[in-house]
Amino acid sequence: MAAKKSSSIIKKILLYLLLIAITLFMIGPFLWLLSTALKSASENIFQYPPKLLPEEPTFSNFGKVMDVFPFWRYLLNSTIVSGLTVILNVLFCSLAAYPLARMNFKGKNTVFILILSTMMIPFQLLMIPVYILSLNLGLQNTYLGMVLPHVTTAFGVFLMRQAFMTVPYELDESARMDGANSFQIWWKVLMPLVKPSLVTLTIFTFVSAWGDFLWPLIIVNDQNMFTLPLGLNMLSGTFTSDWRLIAAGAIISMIPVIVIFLLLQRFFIGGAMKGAIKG
Amino acid sequence: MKKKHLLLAMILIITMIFVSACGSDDAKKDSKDNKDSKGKTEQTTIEFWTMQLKPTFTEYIEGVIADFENENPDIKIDWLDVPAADLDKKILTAVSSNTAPDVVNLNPTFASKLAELDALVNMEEAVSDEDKQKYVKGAWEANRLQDVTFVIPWYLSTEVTLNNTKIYEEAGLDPEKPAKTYEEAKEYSKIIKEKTGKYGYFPSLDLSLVLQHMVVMGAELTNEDGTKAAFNTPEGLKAFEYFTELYQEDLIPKEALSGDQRNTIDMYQAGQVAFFAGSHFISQIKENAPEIYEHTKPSEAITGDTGKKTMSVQNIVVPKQTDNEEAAVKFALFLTNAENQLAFTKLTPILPSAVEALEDPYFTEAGEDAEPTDLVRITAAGQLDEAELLVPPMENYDELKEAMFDAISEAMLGEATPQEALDKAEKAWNEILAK
Repeated sequence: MAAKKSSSIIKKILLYLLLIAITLFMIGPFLWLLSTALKSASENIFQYPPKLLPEEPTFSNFGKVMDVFPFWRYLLNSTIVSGLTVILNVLFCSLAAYPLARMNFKGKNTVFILILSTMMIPFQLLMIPVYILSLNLGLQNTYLGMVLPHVTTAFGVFLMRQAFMTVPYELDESARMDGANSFQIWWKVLMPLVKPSLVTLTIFTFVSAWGDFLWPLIIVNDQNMFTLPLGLNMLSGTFTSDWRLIAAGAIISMIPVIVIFLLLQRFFIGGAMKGAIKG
Repeated sequence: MKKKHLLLAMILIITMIFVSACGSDDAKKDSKDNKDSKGKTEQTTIEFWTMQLKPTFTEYIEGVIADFENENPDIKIDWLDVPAADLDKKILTAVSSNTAPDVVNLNPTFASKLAELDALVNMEEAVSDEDKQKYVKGAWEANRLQDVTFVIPWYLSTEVTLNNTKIYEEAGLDPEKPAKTYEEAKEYSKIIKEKTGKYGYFPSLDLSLVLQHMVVMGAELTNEDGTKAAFNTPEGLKAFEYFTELYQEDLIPKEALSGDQRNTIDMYQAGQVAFFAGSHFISQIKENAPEIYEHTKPSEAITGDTGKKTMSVQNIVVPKQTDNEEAAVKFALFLTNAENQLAFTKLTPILPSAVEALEDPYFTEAGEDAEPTDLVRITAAGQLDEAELLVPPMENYDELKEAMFDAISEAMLGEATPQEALDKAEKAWNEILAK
């Protein structure tokens, strides 16, 4: 009995050691980034052997980042763009997914396959036509110009369609018996039931919108409309780049993503597990 | 009921967004109309893009723009600073949708791509002979593709070797006699490797550097009309053999082959490499590795039998799509005149392309308290006469560069003998050049 117990304890210890090692391995680069951001100007950040702990930790790098470019303005721009993108993307993708999951009409599968096939076209290829379209619509230097190309994504439609398919059809039928129309079924029955997928889509869309570099750069010609990634890019100049500032900037830009994930984490993991069980 | 309100609110928000977008569009139109109606003196607006100069040079560029606008009240400059990372994509998108800016700061490689597409104004015609004389000759001629000079040179740099005097001393070498030729570089590397275990020389093979090394060692890249490869000669072979030997005897870091140019500076900053060509990184070293900076001593570029030294040029181009070619060229000339270039070069370790600016004592005399940055500048300016653009703009340049790099890596990795690799590169070049 005792032997069995001790062997299970050893097993546990080994397991935890392994988990800790993997954790460190995963967050190691992040810790390195943090340590670089905290190093003061007198330290060689490329010294060999490398030092993890800064000799004189300082927060001044974070302050400096905000002076390099109009930080608050760019933060506002990024927030507006990402916020709008997420709201519209989740809304339109689930609206588009509803008929694909629930209604029967001619060419449904063709439509779905066509939507999916757009995932295979890289954005760089679409960029010029989308740019010309946006110019003609007068969307240059507008928030909407940055948001619109991302308001529906094939990935989102696909994700929401699969989510709706997992909801039993009987729920629709009983709602219809009670006199609900299609729109009400979508809004009152299906949407509350696919919250985990909505959250997943929210996080994915937010992360990609928050970090998007190329499209805002192309569509914006006015430095006041730049988003945070474009601003952070200014930290590395043509002739000089101070890695402390770059690290500090990278951390600042990561915070919102981490916060959003922490807030929505409960649902996110629920969603992932649900998907795993039901295939 | 509550849900219904929420839904209504959402629809309202979305409509508002769309309406507001239209609103800003109208506003723009209005301002345009205003401009036209004011117009006895017709205002031209020049769109000017630079490559990653904000925020360090914001004040300088804004100052130049203000001066120019004062002199030319009918021209307004709209400045946009674009991150270097995707400037090429942005300008390509703009050119292909017929909305190119009027004046752009571009590097030679990409400028020559646009020139191949015939998208840039020919400066040979747009600039008067008198103005042409004001630029360093090598810089003006550096950007030619079939007799068309498609840029105005802005600032230049020549390659200066940075030496870590501490490693020199550890290895018992005299820091006053830095490596000047490829042969010396090899010798020094052997000594440094033996005495300290560190690397001596770290030649980068990134970008066009392979081609540059070959030219410096005396190989010709192509025949005169650029239709056939001409580097399969004893000199070309020497270049291949040189790097193969260095690599196989572990005298240069493995990163020479796999990494980009940035690796050289990282290892130098870590005190793992004694010398490398990295003058344009000097202020970065000052910021990131203060104690290495103190031990840094610049010296003239490492060269081969030809004594050639490389020069790189940053350019100003005017796309053909501009509606205001005259004003755009005028601004480009103003930006690159001696006075403005001198002020610019005082802010950062670069050299001006204007002859007059180069005569300033700033580029000729080192003060007593001269820092490594100052020495780099003076050394760099001192060798400008010998420096030239070693790799001229060529069509299908990227493919040529890749082919050469692939060949030399095969030789260095021992997958082929240097001669075999050279034959292979020659064949690939002939195919690409025949296109």
